[in-house]
Amino acid sequence: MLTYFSRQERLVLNGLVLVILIGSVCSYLFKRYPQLGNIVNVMDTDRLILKTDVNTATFDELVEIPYIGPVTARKILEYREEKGHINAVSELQGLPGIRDENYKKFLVYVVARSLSDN
Amino acid sequence: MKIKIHRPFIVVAIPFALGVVLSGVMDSSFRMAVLFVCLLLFSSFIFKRIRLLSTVFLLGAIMSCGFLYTQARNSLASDHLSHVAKYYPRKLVLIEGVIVSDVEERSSFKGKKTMFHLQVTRLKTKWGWKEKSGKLLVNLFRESDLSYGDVIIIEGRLHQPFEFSKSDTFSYRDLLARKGIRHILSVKARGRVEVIRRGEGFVLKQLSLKAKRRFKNVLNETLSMNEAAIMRAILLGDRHDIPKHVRELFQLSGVAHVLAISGLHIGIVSFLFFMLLKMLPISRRWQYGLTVLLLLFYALLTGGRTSVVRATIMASVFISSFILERETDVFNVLSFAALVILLLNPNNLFDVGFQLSFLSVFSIIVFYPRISKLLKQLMRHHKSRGIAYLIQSISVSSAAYLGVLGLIAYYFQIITPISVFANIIIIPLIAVIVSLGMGLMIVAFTIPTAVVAFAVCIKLLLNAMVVCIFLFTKVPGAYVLIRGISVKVVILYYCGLGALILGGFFLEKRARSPDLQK
Repeated sequence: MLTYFSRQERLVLNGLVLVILIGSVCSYLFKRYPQLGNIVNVMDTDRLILKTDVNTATFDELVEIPYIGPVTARKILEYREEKGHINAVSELQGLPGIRDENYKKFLVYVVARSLSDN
Repeated sequence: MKIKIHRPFIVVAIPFALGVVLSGVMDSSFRMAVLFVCLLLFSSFIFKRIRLLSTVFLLGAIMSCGFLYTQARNSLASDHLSHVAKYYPRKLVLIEGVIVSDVEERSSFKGKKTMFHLQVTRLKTKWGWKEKSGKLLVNLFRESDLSYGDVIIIEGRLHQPFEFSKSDTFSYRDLLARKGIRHILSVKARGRVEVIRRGEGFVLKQLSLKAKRRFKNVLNETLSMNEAAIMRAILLGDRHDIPKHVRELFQLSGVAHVLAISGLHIGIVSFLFFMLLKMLPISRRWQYGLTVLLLLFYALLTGGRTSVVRATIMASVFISSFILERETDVFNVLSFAALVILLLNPNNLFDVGFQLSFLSVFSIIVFYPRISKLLKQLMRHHKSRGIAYLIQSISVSSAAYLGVLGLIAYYFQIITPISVFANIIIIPLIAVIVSLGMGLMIVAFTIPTAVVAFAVCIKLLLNAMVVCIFLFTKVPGAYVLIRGISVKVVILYYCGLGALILGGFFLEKRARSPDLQK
């Protein structure tokens, strides 16, 4: 019986059994504990976004960030120069020239690291 | 007895490609070029008794053929739309044509937009409808039920492609020109679009696009938005929906190549097709033959990108060699694939995908055995399956990286040393994900209730893969951003690599020949 299936057939069948096993167990767990699904699904969250530090970013780097155009980038740089250091990203909210809806969109792509971090 | 390997396609592909390059840099009269080809062919015939001289003339003729072929292909017909486009600046024009590509829906700053290629047949002028030719990219700023093969009348504004990129190494206008598109037709949300006839296209392409649409729906229904976007890229070749932050992670860790369908994907897909066909009560030859046909259908389905075509041709030739019971030489097959792709469109030579695809395979063929041998010698005291796998993976990964390093530094302005190690984990993961994706497609049409099992496994592995890639980007020195690498530096790098290959061949030959050693 062991020699009934060829090597490749056994590989495919093993794979199929494994898929059904893992798939069934995980879908059961995801239904039972919805928070597990949220932990696994990292791609649809902002956990994997490589954030740009507004304290060290150059004009070109800021413009590369989605929802930050040349005007917004210039405003951020002017504010940074004026203040010396940005302590929190929230400081950018409400700055003249930065619209609120735009701020909410680019918020996930930026971070304000402290001086010790840099 | 030493067997001399005959590689005719290398000898044809290289001068032909040189001819294509020359057509891009040289400005010569078409008639003169024709005369030159005839003269070289005639000389080759005249000196047929002096084999070396005859071959030199023949190679010259092949090179000039590459030049001529490219010039002929890039020349515009007398009724080409480009000749009259300048007379309609910012004006609405009415055009009749056939949709010759897949109709794609994308999001734009104005909401949804529909994009497709239109083969122009007629243009409405002051003097009535006039026969015209040429291909347009149509941007229709609304959703529509148009599909491949529809004959339509459409009203919009003609303009040249805009240059979006600030990069010196990428031009959107050139990219479209390589596909034979010189103008864009922008149609407003309320613009006129009238379908005259349907189903004018090539039947097989219609079928493949229908299958593609159904596959897309399956992926969209079973996975989350971002997961489906990645799966659409690695299974169907649609990369435009991948979120920017995920794409960036792949680029920074040097594994962006897994997002494009290439030899790895085609290899897995052929294996799966073959395994399915093995269940049918048909002879082995038929199984091989049908695998090739299914592969060709798959290549059509994925839009026929150069990396897919290259991998499909190579896989088909290798499978056919089993049917014909003939030996194949990998260099010869690679050159054959290059020649076919250049004959389909010589401008493909200037495509980044073409250059990366061929250079990586060439580099793997040349460097893999040597790097592997070196690593085996270094690790000769550690013999286990894990170490053997590690040696094999590092050898393939570093061999491919050596080949594409110069081009990646030039085009993408980045060097990613981490990719050599990242590939060791990502390649096996992507192999399993592609297999699961193909399984999901098959199951969705046969046992829809079992879809959940496949979808959950894909979800787990995809997220695990992206987390791994994220962690790789966090390794110190994982990537180095470099600006302004010039063509001279790239040429110098490849000259060095070429010298290394030649030196290696010479040393190996010397080591093998006892006379030379003395």
